[in-house]
Formats: sequence, structure tokens, C-alpha cells
Amino acid sequence: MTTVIREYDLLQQINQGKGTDLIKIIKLNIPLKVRPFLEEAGGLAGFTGKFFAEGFRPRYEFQEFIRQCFIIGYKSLPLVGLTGFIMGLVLTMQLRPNLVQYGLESALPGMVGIAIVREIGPVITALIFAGKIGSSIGAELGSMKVTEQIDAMEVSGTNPFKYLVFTRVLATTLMLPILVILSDAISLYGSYIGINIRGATSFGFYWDEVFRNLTFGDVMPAFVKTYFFGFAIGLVGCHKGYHSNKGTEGVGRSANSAVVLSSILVFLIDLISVQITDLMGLN
Amino acid sequence: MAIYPEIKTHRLKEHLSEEVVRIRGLKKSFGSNKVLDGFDLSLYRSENLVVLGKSGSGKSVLIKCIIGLLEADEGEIHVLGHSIPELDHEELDQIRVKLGFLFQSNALYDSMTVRENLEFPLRRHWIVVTQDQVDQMVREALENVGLGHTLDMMPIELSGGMRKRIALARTLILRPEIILYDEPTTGLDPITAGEINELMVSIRERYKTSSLIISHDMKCVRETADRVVILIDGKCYAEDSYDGLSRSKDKKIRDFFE
Amino acid sequence: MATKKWDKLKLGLFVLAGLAALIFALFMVGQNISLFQSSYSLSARFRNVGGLKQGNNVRYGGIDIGTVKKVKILDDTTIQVDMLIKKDMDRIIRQNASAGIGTDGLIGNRVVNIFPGTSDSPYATNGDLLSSKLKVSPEEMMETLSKSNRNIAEITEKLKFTVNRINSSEGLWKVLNDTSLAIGLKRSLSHIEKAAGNAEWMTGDLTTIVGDVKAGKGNIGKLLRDSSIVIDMGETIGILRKVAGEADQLALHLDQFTTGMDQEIQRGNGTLNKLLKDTVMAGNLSRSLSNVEKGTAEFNENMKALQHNFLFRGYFRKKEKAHMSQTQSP
Repeated sequence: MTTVIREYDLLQQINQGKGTDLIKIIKLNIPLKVRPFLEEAGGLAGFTGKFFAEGFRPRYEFQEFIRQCFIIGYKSLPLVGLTGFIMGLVLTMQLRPNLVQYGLESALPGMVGIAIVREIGPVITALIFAGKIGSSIGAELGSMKVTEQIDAMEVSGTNPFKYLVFTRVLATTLMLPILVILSDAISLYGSYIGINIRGATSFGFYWDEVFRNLTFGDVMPAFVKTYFFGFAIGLVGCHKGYHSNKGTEGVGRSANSAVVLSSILVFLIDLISVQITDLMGLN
Repeated sequence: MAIYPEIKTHRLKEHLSEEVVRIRGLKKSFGSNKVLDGFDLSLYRSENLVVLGKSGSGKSVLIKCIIGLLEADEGEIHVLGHSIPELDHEELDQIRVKLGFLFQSNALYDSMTVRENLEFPLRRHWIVVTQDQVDQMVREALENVGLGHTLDMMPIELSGGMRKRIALARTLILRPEIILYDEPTTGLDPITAGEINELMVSIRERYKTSSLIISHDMKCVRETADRVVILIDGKCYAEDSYDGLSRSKDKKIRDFFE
Repeated sequence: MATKKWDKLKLGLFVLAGLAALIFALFMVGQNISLFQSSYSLSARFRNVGGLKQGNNVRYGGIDIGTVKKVKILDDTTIQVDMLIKKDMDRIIRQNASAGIGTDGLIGNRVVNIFPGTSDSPYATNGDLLSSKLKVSPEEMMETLSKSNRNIAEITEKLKFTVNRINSSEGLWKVLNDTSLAIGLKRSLSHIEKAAGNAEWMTGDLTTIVGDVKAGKGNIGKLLRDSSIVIDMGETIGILRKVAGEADQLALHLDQFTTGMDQEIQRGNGTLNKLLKDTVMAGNLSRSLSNVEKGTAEFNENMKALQHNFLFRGYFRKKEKAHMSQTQSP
């Protein structure tokens, strides 16, 4: 009976906005090492909730969104294209000796095509993107936070969350898939060159081979997951920057942890997506 | 002046209208650290009031509570007759048009040119303003602070003093009734700081604004203050003119003057 | 402001390029057609396609020349395979070319192999139906190998028996004495013996291989990969069988010869010489001898070809070793 009353009291306290006691009790029962992780997860979840709660109400910062799309999407293309090209070329040259051993050299375009479209293209591009954009968003918002620019925006009658966070997260979400598609194409071209270093395959035949081996189930899940990659990278970058600690050191740490956390999330999403694809029977 | 439209704000009773900012029993704490503990303050029309306090004494917290960047734990804050804690976001934005805020770190947007920095609050607060009007207002604001030539420069290309003046121009562009200065001379050399002090005084002369200046720079206090409030331990410790306080025998007050 | 417009344009191009690539990819994936090179269509009908499906390769002389467009069931025993063939093959594939289903490499992707026809036939055109060869599955290949093995063993036995029979016919040798016929006969017999010996080695080897593969040992991959061995083996067995037939013929003729000779001697007319020169029997006999000669030569020729096949490498190495030790020991 007493415990019930105590719980009731605690609930009352929470309802009155004085949840400190219960939170303290819960806090004390969580192992020390787990706490930062839970705090992080909770913070990110709250940030995600805010994104959906605030972002889709007017007014929309369309100009800023376009500007961010340009910076985040278009300006990342050279980097993503270069790494994609090299990946395609290297992957082809690494796979070739093994395939030749089994007399499967002719399967090279199809195999590389599937590897690039399903996994290597999306994940490598997302990681490069996390490194470039995640860190730059983290550092940019971090320094804006530290130098009170975010406060200044708030004072100037602008919702900084909408102006800074929503536009950026939306831009990363929409731009990464496009980057991945273009990177895939460049990667496959790199692979074509890789094949022609030691063999001779016509351009037309190579592409026919690639597409012949690809199915809808290869392309679509890979494409859809890149939206989640983009969303995670943008969200983590903004979260880390937006909640940056005071001081220039805090800015650096935001940028760094944005890259680390978003890279981990990319792999987690990849893991989940492969399971879902499997369950949907698209594998 | 026609391009600055009159914004209708609800006015309270006549006897309060002279008191543009009224703070009573303000409390704010971060964790167990009580930064403000029952602070009282009144800012009257067209006066320059300096809040003097040591670093970390909660001066910045005070003005951030006034403009609604921070939420007070307890106490009343009235700005131009409106109770800040009770306003929703939109109403707060309307009040903020009448409130200028000069940030300690200037808070110029790094990714924008000076022109865009100045245009930013204009475009935000009044959606219907023609490009010509915007250009005119930007030019006027820049000339007010003597930096008309920096129009298309990036903030990073400017010196600290210039940035402070651009920030001031951005604060002034909306013609606020009240300006909150957060340590306006911190980090500037004495000559530049002197120029900023002069600007603050001349702004008051020209636009009849009321100013709340947060500072611990005694030169700034002496040159700008009509009245000084000393903030110690989260409370209003003393309140007088600069001369009055400088004659005080109180140990804690003397600390500021030596 | 001009730069901003330019930026927007670039962003627009970027987004459009991405979308175009995606739509194009989805289109290509969905259609499964050769957009990059022109092609024409050929068909073939099979009883069993062994898991062949849309998208598998079509080969001509081991070169990829197209893909399987569709596999459809015509009736309870006929399955039609439609293939898309590269356009430039229409100057190569003839109407009497045949199609077979084979296995590609270790992982066992099915392929359609097109075998050349004869040059007197016109070129195949769009929509033509090619005749089909039975496909060889790994199981069937194993089956063929062990059957070949049994055949070889059987024929070898027969050969040995014949050789023995001829050798042991004392009367014959007495009569032949040292005539040229006797020398020819001896040479033929030694050739037959050698061929039989070769064949015996081969059966031994095959038994080991088939046994190993069935027991899961040995390189099944290599075995399955090289379906040419089945063809080679078939040919070799054919020749061996021919040799055996010739040898049989030879023995028969020799039998006739000896009985004829006995009769002649009993009758007391004609001499041995006359008999050897003029009779039909003698003619038959010498024809038999030359046939045996040809057959064994062909068989040895084929054994040489098989030498290049890994399956018998062990055998030929053994043989070489044996030869070496023989030449060294005396």
C-alpha cells in the first residue's frame, strides 16, 4: 500500500512539473557507463521529434533550403564522384583475380554492379558525406551557437530551428540519394575502366551486363535507405551543433562527434535495411 | 520615416508607460546554482541604465530573460507593458521588434555579407517591404555607424570594432524602443571602446531609445550611464548615479571602482 | 544575384541528372532489354532446361553473344527458350546450328550453347528456331563417364579375347609360317594389344575419378566445368568399338581362313600359296588387317588428344614414369 502511495506522489510531482525525485531515483538505478549513451539517444530522439513537430508548420525557409541543397548536394558531388570512381575501379581490379580463378571473369560487370548499387555506393557515399557534410554542419551550427548567432536569429523573429535545422536536415535527406545515384553511375564507369585495364569489353556490352544482373529488388531498397542515411547524417550534425558546448573546443567536439555518430548510424540503418529487405523478400 | 510602420502593441495603463521594462522578484537558477535570486529592476523611457556586475554574476542571464531567450523560473518581467513569460511565440516576436539586442560576440551571421546581415531582421519582421526600401534602410543604418563602404564584405573580413558597429547597425535597423547591450565594449581596445560608447550615447540622443547596458567596464559605465544598478549575488545590491556610487564607502561597491 | 541564379541552375541540373539516372536505371532494370546494342531473336526447344532462366547467357564457341529473353512452356514436353542475340552474330549463326544447355563454371549458372552448323546452310534470321542438343547435367556427365568406363572395359575384354584366340590358333601360325601375311597379322595383333592396354589404363583411371567424385572427394568443380571431356570420351569409345569390331572381323576371317584351308588340304587341291593369293578369303583377311591398322592408329591419336585433358593427366604421367623406369632399368 505504501509503495502505491509513494508512486502516486511521484506521479503527482511529475504532473506538477517537479519530476526531479523520480528522475533522480531512475537516474541512480542506471549504471554509470550507460547514462551518457541513454542521454545521447534521448537527446537525439527529442531532436527528431522537434524536427517533425516544428518543421512542417509554416513558415517555410525556402530560400535557405535551396541554398543548403546547393551547398550540401551540388558542392559534394566532386568529392563523392572521385571516391565513387576510385571505389568502382579498385573493386573491379581486386575482384578480378579471384573471378578469373573460377573462370567467372564474364560475371565481373554484373557482380561489381550489384555490389556497387546495393551496398558500396550507398554506404561509401554516405560515409564520405557524413565526413564532409556532417562535420561541416556540426561545426557551423556549433560556432553559430557559441557566437550567439542562433540567439540573434531567435531575436530577429526567425525560428532558428526551422531556419537552420529543418532546412539542413531536409537538404541532406533529399540530396544524399541523388548523390548516391550519381556516385553509383560514376563508380560503375570506374569499374568499366577497371575491366578494360586488363580486358576488352565494349561500353554497350558492359552496361547491358550490369543492368541485366540488376533487379528491382537491388535498386529500390538501396535507393530508399539512402534517404534514411541522409536524414540521420543531417539530424546528427544539426543536433551536435545545435547543442554544442560553449567555447571553441565545443565546436570541434560537435563536428567530431557528429561524424562519428552519424557514421555509426549509417551502419545501423544499413543493418536494419538489410533485415527489412530480407523480410520483404526483395533479396 | 514612413518606411518604419507603426506596429500596434497593446499598451497597459498610463502610469506604467514610462516604465518600459519592469522586473520584480526575478529568479533563475541552473541546477543548484542560483544566478538570479529575486532581482528587481525598472528601466524608464529614454534613459541609459547600466547593470554592473562581475563576470558570471548573471547579467547576461538577466537580459536574455528580458528578451525571452531564457525562461525565468519565477518573477515578473514586463516589457512595454507586456508580461514576457505569458506571451506565445508570435506575440514575443512582435515585442522583439521593439527590442534591440547587441550581443557580446556580435552574432553576425558568418555565411552572409554585411548587407544580408542587416537585411535579415528586416525581412523576418516585415514581410511586405520593397527591395528599394530595404536597400535604403540598410544604407542608412550603415551610415549611422560610419561603415557605408562595407556593404558587400563578409563579417570575417572586418575588424572587431567594425563588427561591433555592424552588429549595432543591425540592432538599430528596426528602430527599437529599447536596446539591450550585452557587454558592448568587452574585448575591444580602449579607443574603439570609446567610439562605441559615443555611439551608444548618440543613439539615445537621436532616437530617444531606452538602453539597458550590461557591463563591467567602468569607462563604459562612466561615459554612458544615467543610472547604475549593481548586481551582486543575484540581487540588486545598489542603485544610484555613477557619481553617487563612486562616492560610496561600501566595500563591495568600491571593488568595482578600483 | 547573378551568381545565385547560376547556383540555382547548377542545383537544378544536379537534381535532374540524379533523377534521370534513377529513372533510367529503373527502366533498364524493369525491361531487361539490351538498349545499348541492337540484337535479334532466336529460339530453341528443349524437353528439359535444367533451371535455365531469363537473363542467362547465350554462348557461341564459349563467347557470350546474348541472353535468354524468355523461357516458356509450350506443352507438356516442350519448353521454348527465346534468346536475344547480338546483331553482328547474324553473319555467323546458320539455320542448322544447334542449341544445347550447359553449365557455366563452378556455381552452375545455366547457359545456352549454340553449336555451329554447316556452311551450306543459310544464315539464321530473326525468329528462327534452332534444333536442340540434349543438355548435359553434372549427374548425366557422371553417368556417361561411368558408362563409358564400362564400355571401354567390355571392349577391352573382347579385344584381349580375340587376340588370345588368334595367338593360340596353332594351325594358323603353322600354315602362315613366315609369309608377309604373318608379319602383318603379328603387327596388327601387337597394335591391338597396345590399344587394349591403353584402354585398360584409362578404365582404371576413370574408375578412380568417378569413385572419388561420387565419394565427394576430388575436384568436382573441375570435372563439372569441362563438359568437353564427355564429347572426347564418346569419340574415343566409338573408335575403340570400331577397333574391336575390326578385330572381331579379323578373327572371323582368320577362322574362315583356317577352316577353308583345312577343307582345301583335305580335298587335296591347290597349294597354300594359291590360297593365300587368290581366294576371297585372303582378300577379306588383308582388308581386315588394314582396317585394324587404321582403327588402332585412330584410337592412339585420340588417346593423345585425351592426354590434354586433366582427367587423364595422372594416367599419362604414370605411363611416362613406367616408360622411364623401363628404359633406365636394363
